[in-house]
Amino acid sequence: MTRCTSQPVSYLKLERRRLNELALAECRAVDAHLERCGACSVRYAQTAERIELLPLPEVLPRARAVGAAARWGLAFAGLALAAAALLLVVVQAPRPFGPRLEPPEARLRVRGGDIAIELVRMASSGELLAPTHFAAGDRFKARITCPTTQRGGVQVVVYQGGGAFFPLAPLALERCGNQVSIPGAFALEGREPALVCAVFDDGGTLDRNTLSDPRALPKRSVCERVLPAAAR
Amino acid sequence: MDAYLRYGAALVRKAERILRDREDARDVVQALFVELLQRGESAFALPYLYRAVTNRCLNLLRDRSTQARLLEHGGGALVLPARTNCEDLAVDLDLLIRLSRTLEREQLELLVYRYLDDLSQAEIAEVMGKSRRTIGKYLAALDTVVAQLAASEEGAP
Repeated sequence: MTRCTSQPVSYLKLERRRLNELALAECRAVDAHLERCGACSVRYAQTAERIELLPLPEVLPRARAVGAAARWGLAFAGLALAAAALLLVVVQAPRPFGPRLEPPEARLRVRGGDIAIELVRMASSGELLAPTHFAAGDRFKARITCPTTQRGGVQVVVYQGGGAFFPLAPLALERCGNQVSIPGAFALEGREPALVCAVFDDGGTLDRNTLSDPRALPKRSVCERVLPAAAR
Repeated sequence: MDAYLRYGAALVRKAERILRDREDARDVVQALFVELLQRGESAFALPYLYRAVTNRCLNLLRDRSTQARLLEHGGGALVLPARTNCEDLAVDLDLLIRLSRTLEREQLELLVYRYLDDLSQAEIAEVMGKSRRTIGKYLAALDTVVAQLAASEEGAP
């Protein structure tokens, strides 16, 4: 790489130039520097790289909101969701379930079996903590273990407070093995215990509607129970 | 979230400069936005996000199990892209991890802006919310500390 002959343009400024966020004079100064500096031009070219971002969770369990407007928005959304849920109850009449009910088919903390789920808990400080509990600001990653011959996909489902949440995008399994990380992370909030499950499908498509009840989980599911830190 | 789409790639590149691992970098950025979403925040400027990502990466680097994993991932290619700065002090991941055990939190943050991001004094002041004069003093002290540590590492058997 050639060297910059003066003070290099910072990565921050190059990114802002790429995003057209610089004032005109600053923009011209950066462009003039790039014209005569090969090293910084290489850096600038790197800012054009498209990077696939991890998906943000579609549903954030117990998402908090700040500000009155956000609270009102949530209230309306909550009413709408409650109405939709009521409609679902009337139409489908699923069996009630709660955090104390165990899914009969899913196994808890499988060890030595051919599938397993392991949670990694990181506090907001970056400290790794026991994944048996959760507290505000913690984030969890899920690692799965399954045979290398396992195909299809895996979906993480969180059951908490009578609801089912899908905090991570489904992962298509091209090659499974030991402690395969599922991309992304999620947070747990609330006062109820949470049941975090990995549901494997063998090539079929996992229908989220059929995963709303933990007692109806497919056999190839495995779960971990996580308690609120206050319940320690 | 618009900010995630707009700034996500820039922040991943920024995190990757520190962690030297694309997957960890993507993870850090996603986690940041998950937290911001949960706090109901949505309007951000890039410098603010730059600092938030920096601090998250440094938290990871301070964790010993993460250190081992990152170094293992990096294998023999631990050296960061050659600096184009005239002063030309390269801070590789290994040195950064060692410095994370020695430097104060704010010094380490400053070191990242200075030696990995090549931010100017004015930009560091903007990102850290301090005066240029204060940053100037910090930088002078930091340069001395880093030079001493780097020299002692070179002299070590």
